[in-house]
Amino acid sequence: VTLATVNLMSLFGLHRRRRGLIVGHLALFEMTSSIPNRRYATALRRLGVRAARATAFFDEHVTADAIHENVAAVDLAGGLARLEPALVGDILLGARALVELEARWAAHLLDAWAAGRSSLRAPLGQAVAA
Amino acid sequence: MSSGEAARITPYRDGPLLVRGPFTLVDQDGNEIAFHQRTIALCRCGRSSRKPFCDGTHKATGWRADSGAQERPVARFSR
Repeated sequence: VTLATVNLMSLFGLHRRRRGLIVGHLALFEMTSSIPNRRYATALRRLGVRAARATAFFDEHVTADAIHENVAAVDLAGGLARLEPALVGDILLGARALVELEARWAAHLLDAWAAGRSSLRAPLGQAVAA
Repeated sequence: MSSGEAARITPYRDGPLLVRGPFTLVDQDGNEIAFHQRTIALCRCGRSSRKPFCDGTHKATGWRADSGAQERPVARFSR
């Protein structure tokens, strides 16, 4: 479950015929990432982490993804939909798959966190040794 | 870009103003405001905590605006 969101991107991105799916996935990701990135950055500062090397990535993606959300939704996904209307279903499915899987992923990780155990099938040390 | 060297500004529906270069951004005293993307998004809803740049807050507040020019308002009297 922990790596499923990454596998979903690979599944959609590795074949040209799934381009509608990966575009929908990417567009929704960009459309929803600036606010969480701002929360990560402000949360780090609340915890006393002031080093720019810790917060720069999140800070950068607040304003960067505020640009990308429009480019990805209107120009990229919208552009593909106008160019290839047959892919509209795939674009929406890619976006919905992201939401569905991210919800499961978040629930799984937060449950593991609350229970004080790893979200991985085997603790990292064992997995590396195996 | 077909318009050659001119900067292009686009209001995105329910979103910010995207400015595509070449352009410079200055405050009212003429001091340059630094940015490091080629395209920038300027806040249009007034709620950004990174002004003049957009930080995505318009989505949380449900702010709405068309992409094209607004029609001129018609006065309404309330009784």
